Amino acid sequence: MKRSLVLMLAVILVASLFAGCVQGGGKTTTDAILYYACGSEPYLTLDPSVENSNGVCVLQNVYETLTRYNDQTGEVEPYLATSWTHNDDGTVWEFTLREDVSFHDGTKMNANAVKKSIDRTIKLGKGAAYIWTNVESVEVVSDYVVRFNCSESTSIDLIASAAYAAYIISEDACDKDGDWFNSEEGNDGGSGPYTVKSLVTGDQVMLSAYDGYWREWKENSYKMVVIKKHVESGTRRQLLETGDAHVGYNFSTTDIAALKANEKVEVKYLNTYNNILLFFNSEKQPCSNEDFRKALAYSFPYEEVINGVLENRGQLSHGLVTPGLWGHDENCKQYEFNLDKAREYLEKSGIDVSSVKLEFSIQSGYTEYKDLAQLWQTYLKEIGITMEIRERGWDSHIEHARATRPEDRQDIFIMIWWPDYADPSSWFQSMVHSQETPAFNLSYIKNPEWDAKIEEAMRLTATDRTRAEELYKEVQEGVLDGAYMIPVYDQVLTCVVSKEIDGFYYNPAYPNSVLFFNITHK
Amino acid sequence: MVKYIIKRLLNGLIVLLGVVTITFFITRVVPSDVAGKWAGERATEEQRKQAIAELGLDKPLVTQYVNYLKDLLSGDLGRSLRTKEPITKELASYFPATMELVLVAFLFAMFVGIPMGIYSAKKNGKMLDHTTRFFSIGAVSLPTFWVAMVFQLVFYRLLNWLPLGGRMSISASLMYDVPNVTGMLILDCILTGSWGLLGDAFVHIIMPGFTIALYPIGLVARMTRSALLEILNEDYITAAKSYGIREGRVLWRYALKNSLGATATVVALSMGYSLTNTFLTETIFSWPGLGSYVSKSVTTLDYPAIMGIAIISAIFYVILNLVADIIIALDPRIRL
Repeated sequence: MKRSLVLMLAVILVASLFAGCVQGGGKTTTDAILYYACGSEPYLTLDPSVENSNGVCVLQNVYETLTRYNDQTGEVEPYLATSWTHNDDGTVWEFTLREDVSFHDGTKMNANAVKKSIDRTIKLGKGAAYIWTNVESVEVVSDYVVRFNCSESTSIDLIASAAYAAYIISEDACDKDGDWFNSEEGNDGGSGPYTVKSLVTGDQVMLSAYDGYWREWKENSYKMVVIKKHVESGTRRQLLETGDAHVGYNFSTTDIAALKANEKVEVKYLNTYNNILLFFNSEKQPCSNEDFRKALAYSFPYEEVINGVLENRGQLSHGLVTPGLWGHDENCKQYEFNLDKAREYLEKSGIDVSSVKLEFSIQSGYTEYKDLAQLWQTYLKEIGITMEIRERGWDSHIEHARATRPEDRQDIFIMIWWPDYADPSSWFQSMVHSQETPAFNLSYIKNPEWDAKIEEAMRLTATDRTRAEELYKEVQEGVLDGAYMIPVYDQVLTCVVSKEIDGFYYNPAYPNSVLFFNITHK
Repeated sequence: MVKYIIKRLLNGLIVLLGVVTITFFITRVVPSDVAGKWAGERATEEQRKQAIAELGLDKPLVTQYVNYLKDLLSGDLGRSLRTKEPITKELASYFPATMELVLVAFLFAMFVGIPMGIYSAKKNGKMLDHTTRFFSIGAVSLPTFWVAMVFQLVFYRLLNWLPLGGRMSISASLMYDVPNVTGMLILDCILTGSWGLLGDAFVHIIMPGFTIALYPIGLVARMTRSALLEILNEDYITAAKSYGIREGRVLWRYALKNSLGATATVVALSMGYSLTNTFLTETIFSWPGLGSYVSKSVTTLDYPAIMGIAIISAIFYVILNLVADIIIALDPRIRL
């Protein structure tokens, strides 16, 4: 027994010697690696046609799309396509492609590859493939011109800029399946600045620079990137504090406070396209009463939630469409917390509050929902309304809201929403346009006039965006005026960036992702 | 003996079938939007229908069960609803990582726990005994996540002796080819002779391994101590001592051997317990193991994954129990 103890000690000593070598010898390599610490799995699948989750942070750097949305100007910009045209009614689109782009497997990016990629995504029909619903066919016009034929007016330029389901893949990779893309050896069929070097399932992605990339590399850009999962906020914080990691997201409030005091890092509050919405059940007493809904809207403590519950991980909403996205209206009506007004509307509604018992359905597992619900509950009590909070897992939360009989559904529902691509139609088509069986229209709005306006706006997006924007604004005024749905806050992402790097920019149209190509070390 | 082992193995198979059946029906009864998970929350009606057909959800439950058993026999556990990857592939990635951690913890438990128990018994009632007892009770009762964080704070932040987490450092993984034979990094490094990476892998496993080992260490130390104390009072020990046999020899050779039966059972079961309860440790040390896979699968009701985990941990338990039973059966006093 004694001998084994001695042996173990010896092993430890020898191993620590080795460890010393590794740390010493590896120093030069470590300097050139960009370390991205994320809080959950870096991807679910790396199949670019299918992934509809965190994997964008990888795909955005490995694959490219025809166009890219600029959140500063609200315009779509050329990416793999240099220019595009469409016919008068926006049903036929032609994209001219760059001629100097090659995929990581050495093949040329051309119209055939574009056609094959989009066809593959549509055929697989997984993830966000539905964004192409209106596309009837993709045609190769010439080597570097590709045509999209649509069943109705569709803004293909916006769809082609999507963060999901719009990636252009090399022809060979198009024939591969998900297992190939997710192989731990690292396979990809992209044309972006980085290639997938290796993977550890559910844990880590290693990217390395692609030498044949069509844009010029800067001398001090990172040739290696590692994206690694560190579930604990405290672990990510320590990695940033020691300088091992360069970028990290979503920290607890205590960790944010500590990181703010650290001189080596910068804490950023990033605008997102996500907002949290309250839905009042307009088909069921008492929320079917407009004045009652308004009373509820005035009783919600918006600012207190942002400052107290979220500790600035949110900002006041102005309308359904989030800032930075076209269609956003800074002057849109917004309710404020005013219990006097709430009482006024309550009286006007003529509803006897003593008989009212509201059910507020929230998704379990999110402390912010629970906290804001409890805060609101106390204010509602002040104006005499009893509200019961029901926490449910997402499945039963949404199923309850879709119950066949309206009276079986909740009175108030809460949910987060974000657009599939940079188009406000997502909010209106999914949550305001009437639906025979409700999918996400969970205020159960049925308004033919708004339906017509939404359809018109979607039709005009490609050809007359100014008019489309006006129509969306009208509908959104109506929805808020009638207090059907209330945007409670726009989500703000906390991000901590090391001061060792330059060029960090977050575009909310591409959630959780950053273009590593633009980042350089100081 | 062979008969006994075969009997135990058959028993194990029945247990496995029971686990498969029960988890299958429980996961199907829990209300869950399976098609929605497969196709995505915002999927169109068409995509949902496609999902239902792909997953065979349109068939009666019994048919689904029979199909599942058939697939299971050919080694197919289905695909995860969340990642759409084959469950066998995911388990093959996560299981060895956790297994490695549990094995290292097991070694810690044996090499730290047993000597602690012995010395404690030897110095019964003295200062050393009190200290080890204090430590072993502490090891059993301190919350793992707290200990893990304190370790990180001390050994990474303050002393910078050990890495914060992960299985290997990024620079090491770039400098060396990472071997993949069994999926257990340390073992693979030894098998392929990747000595450079071995050292790196070793320093990475110390903190998480020791954290997981804490509970078994405490348990083993206390079991060994109480079993030994009982034996040290036996007449044959007194007889051995009176023959003038050296005390060390009496303790290690005659007393310890007889006390290990009880310890073996405790170790085996606590290892089985560790396998599915490494979640907190894995989370804190960013260890890509089964623990976080379990929690993600359960919270998202990813039932093919839940079933896969249930089956693999049932197999593990059955094997461990078998091993413990065999060790005990080796004792001539309870020879069959």
